[in-house]
Amino acid sequence: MAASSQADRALDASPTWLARAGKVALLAAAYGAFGVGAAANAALGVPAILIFSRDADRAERRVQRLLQRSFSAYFRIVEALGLVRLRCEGADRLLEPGLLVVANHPSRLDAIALIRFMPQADCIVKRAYFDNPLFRIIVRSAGYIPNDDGRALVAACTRQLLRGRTVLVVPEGTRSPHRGLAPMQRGAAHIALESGRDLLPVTVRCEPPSLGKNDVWWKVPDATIELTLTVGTPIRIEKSSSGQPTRGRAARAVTDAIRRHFEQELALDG
Amino acid sequence: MTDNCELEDEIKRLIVEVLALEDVRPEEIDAEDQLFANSLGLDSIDALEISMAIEARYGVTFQGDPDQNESIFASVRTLAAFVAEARQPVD
Repeated sequence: MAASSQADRALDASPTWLARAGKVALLAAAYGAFGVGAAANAALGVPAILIFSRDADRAERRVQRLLQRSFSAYFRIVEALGLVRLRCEGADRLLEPGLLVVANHPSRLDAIALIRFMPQADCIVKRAYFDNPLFRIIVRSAGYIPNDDGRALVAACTRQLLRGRTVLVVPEGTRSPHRGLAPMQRGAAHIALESGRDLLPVTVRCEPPSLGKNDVWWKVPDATIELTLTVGTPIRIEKSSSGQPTRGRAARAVTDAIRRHFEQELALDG
Repeated sequence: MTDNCELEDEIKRLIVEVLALEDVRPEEIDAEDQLFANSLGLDSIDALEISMAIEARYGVTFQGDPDQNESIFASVRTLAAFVAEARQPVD
């Protein structure tokens, strides 16, 4: 007893910067592990799939499955380091084919957290990734879709949905402000209207808010980050767009419905 | 080059209407101004909505080539030039 209370005092007395330094070291290890994993996939995993897959559809599905497994392993590492705890409520519903999934985006981890629960997901990514030396082979081989041309984006996503592939869109297009939402872009709504598919919303919560748009990478809370995904009820496009005279108006109405869903889930005002 | 004046004004009105730009009046848009880089700050989905509205109104079609569309959508002037050219019946 005496020894343990001495140890407690020693911990109490230890300067907080030491704990902070330990946390930063863990974080650096986590970022390092991510880089090593990405490099291994780019250099070995993906090329192996490309060699042994006969058609593009099969190769893309295999690369996406590889990414899902990689991110699953990655979360086991960061969970073991005590940095993050990841949960998904309703994960089963992300396994169906041909879903149009929309998510909010509070943290740097959201995309890989979502993909962790989606063995097949066509993601929309920034054009810059298609030219990045590390990521280009991965995003291209996974059949991911660049976000720079609206018409091509909507056409590509619609084509994928209609052939039974699941598509993942982040309507905010960038990370959300802490406990809030960035303005929604209308691409997801256009894809839904063009393909006739309802939207499956997944609310991402990051508590305490961290790894957000304006947070520097090494500043994380002392507590373990709780990352929670909640699969919601589908947003019916026919209901949310009825009575709208043009496709453009309909897309605005559907975008409003998406925003309202996330606002309600996050219990935001207005 | 400026003989599409009326068409340019029509397209300016169409852009403001389609995108529900509340703080911009059509006559404030400079026909030569960059639509996407400058003050209007339009994005690629705005371009999609403008192109759908123009297709519906003038019966023209935009091809899927992103590079070509980028030059067509550079300004109201280039957009009007494309529409004027594309809706001319070919003899």
